[in-house]
Amino acid sequence: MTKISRRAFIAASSAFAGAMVIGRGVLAAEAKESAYFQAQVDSGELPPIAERLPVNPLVITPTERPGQQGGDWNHALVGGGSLSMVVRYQGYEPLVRYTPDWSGLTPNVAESYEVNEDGTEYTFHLRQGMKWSDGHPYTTEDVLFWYEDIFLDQDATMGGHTWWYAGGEVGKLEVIDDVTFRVTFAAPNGFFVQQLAWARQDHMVLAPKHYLQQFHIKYNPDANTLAQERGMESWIALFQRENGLDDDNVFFQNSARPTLMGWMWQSAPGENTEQAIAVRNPYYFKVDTEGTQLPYFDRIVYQMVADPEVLLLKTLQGEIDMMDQYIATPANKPVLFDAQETGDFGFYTLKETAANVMVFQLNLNHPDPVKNELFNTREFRQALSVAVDRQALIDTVFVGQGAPAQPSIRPDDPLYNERLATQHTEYDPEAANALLDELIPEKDGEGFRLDSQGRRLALIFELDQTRTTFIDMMQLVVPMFQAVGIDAQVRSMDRSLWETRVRNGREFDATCHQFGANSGIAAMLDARYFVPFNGNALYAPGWNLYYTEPENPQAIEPPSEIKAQQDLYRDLLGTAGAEQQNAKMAQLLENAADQFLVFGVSLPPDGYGVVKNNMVNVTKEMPNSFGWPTPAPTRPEQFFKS
Amino acid sequence: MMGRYIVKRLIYMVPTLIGMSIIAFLIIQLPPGDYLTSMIARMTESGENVDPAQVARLREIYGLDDPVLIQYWKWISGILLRGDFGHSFEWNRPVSDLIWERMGSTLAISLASLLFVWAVALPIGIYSAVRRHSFGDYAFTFLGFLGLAIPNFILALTLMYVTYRYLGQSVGGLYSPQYVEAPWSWGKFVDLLSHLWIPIIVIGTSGTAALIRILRANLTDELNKPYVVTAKAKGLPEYKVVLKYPVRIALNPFVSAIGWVLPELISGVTITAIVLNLPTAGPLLLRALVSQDMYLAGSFILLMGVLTLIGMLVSDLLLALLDPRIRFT
Repeated sequence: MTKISRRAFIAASSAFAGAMVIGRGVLAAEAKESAYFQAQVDSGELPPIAERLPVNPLVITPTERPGQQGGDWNHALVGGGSLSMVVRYQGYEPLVRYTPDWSGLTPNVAESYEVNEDGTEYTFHLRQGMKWSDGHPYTTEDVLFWYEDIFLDQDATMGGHTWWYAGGEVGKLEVIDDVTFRVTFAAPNGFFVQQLAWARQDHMVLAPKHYLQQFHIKYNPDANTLAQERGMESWIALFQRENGLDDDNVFFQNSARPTLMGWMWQSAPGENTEQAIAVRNPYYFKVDTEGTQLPYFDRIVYQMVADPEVLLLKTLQGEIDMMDQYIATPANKPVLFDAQETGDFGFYTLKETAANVMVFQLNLNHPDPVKNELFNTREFRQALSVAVDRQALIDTVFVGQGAPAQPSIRPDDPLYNERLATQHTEYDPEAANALLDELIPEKDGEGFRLDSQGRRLALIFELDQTRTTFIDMMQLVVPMFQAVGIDAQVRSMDRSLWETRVRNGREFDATCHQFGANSGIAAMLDARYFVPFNGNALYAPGWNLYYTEPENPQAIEPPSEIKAQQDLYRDLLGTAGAEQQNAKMAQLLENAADQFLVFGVSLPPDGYGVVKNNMVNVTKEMPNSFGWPTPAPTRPEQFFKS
Repeated sequence: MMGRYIVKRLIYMVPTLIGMSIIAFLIIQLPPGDYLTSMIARMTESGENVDPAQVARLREIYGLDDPVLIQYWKWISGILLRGDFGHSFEWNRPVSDLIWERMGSTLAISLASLLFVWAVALPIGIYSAVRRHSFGDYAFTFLGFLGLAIPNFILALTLMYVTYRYLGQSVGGLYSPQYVEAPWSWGKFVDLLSHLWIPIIVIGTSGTAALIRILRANLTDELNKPYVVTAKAKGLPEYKVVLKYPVRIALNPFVSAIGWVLPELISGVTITAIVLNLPTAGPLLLRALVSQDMYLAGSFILLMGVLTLIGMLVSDLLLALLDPRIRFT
């Protein structure tokens, strides 16, 4: 398995020249016309295949074997809800993409790229003759349009894109010719390409100038009138609706916008609320080793399902070809296992990438000075951590799968830090009591500890009620905290209230959350539990803000060791070269182990997905993540049905 | 007389509607956060990172920072002046399109189940009243209470499992996947019928039980009245006695309930519709409320208000027709 993906990786990344030779050889001689388009080519509506492909198409080595075009890939989306799921199946075509095993990067839309020694200068080469799904050429003009007229345009910009900044300045994009452009940074920006490969951070390949310019005031002086006709106040709102770059739901609801992706909408979600259908893009830039244009599947058909239980039944019945979200829960596994034969499907393994199943986060920026001081005392957090009987939680909530661990790196990853992963995981209520007796020895009549002001120390965990596993676990944790004299309580609340009180508020005592990352590149890009640097580090809202906007009056200046950690992280992000990056990350993790800001329960056990037995080329084991949008990097374009 | 009455009722509706629209809009705005908060929650749920600066910018563009009154004015003036119900954030389409699209299947299912309820409840109710305390009465009462007691969604899930397990049919929705886009044909119609019986039974069972009980109680009262005894004494056949007078009076509650039937058509069967994956308005409304898609949700609630008012008017008129003792004032 690894052997094949490794070979694919080397073929694709190390030698673009090699790929070009194969590509040319295969292509010029025998690129085959798709049966799906034959009629349109014959009638002259579409140019023949050789004119639709770029000069140097990307040659994909299939995971198992080459296949043939045709068929439907049957999928489902739950609710009118999140269309970011679509990214996973048809929406991941960045300039450079992650390899199927997430060990590195491989060229995709870009044919190749070069980085200079210190990571300040990136040169990208696009493919000659590459086209959007309507046949219009995709060139550096489209890249420049995004950069100048969207990203840097005062009205059209949505902000964000922190990876485009280094040394306090935005990267400069310079077009060299039709297919070559260069991005230059004022300071080293070591993770630029990794960031561009992250799902939905690939805006440079998503903005067709020839389509979007009609909505942009710079190119169409009547854009405002156009917007008013469509019931919007100004061109800005309409332009945002049309490009949808910053909202997946908007992005995937527009079937008129040309795309570089393997499939394009015939009827987009929302245009039809029961079913969405995407059909093959005649100009898709990839071929297999035999010269067949990809994707293999002619169509992706998404049923819109309102309830996960319905999706489960449909999967049992074999109506769904592949599914690892929504229904792939530990509780459903026995049901799915029993139905394997009737539904004609099998399983694949998902390597979970979250740093922990649940991370306890005390509000280290609590407005109450007494609680603030206590929460910022390492021994207090340590006491709470050893007061938790993790094995009991694992046995009850995760049917015994997993092993006690703090939010940390997976043991099989080179960055694994044993102290960070295992310190203070031993269940020891006596030690917890001893530590707490040092800090807050006074108790009231009911045995609960009093703080230095003589108030009973209540510790209220505010939880989002949709996260049922957290609530299940906290039911067991509360008595464990009470046993060491802490008046712990749980408030589960509606999500929107939780968002307001916890994610955007400062007044909460504590909360629990998950995600983060447990390996390699992902952990460096999402280091939320090792250093407070963005809003996902719920435990330190004020310090997070200090990282990005130290001048902001809401920001709170962290103590010096946290500040040093933030500086180290900033330094890491500027570093080019895997070796130095790893060294700095190791140091960051070592510091995180010293600081022990948050604690957790267990590393997440492996998940699973179900796939129909007739699906070919599906990888048997893959990470589960959004940045590496499972299963997109395993290349759905080369899936087919035998 | 009647014409003036109707005009008067219609005029009274205007202030009611204004009040309703304000309350509907305010209630939607009451929960903390707005559409963007719920969007962020959804995106972080799937592990995506959201930049606060981007969100602030979106909020500005969508006009979510404006005071509630201004937002309300934008919405209501669009409806009054241009007939424009606004734009759904979540679906990125005009609200009116979304609502109309779902109306056909919603009406079809609701009317079908309403007819089912009446077709079952009327004869059983009459039978139970006439043959009170007979074996048949007890049997139907037992079944009726069973139908009332079993939560709709459990019944729906059970029936779906049964069709999946024993009939091997595609579950949920109104059509099998291959028929969703297909043009109308005999095959599609049969496919529709094979899906439609589940929602009709599920939605029907609880309604049936309630109606049977109401009819039985009302009819029992009527049957003992002197005019019935007189009619019987004069030798009218039993079925004629029962059907011609007492049943007509016992029907009053059916008719006065029509006021509630219309809005029920939209929101009444939401949970069942979600479980069964029916393309009706209920799940769309629920989704709009959950994701705080305020224009869609507000328009739905307003529409339900209008339907309630119309339903009330219709039921008042029908009641007057049915029962000459009731007069227009």
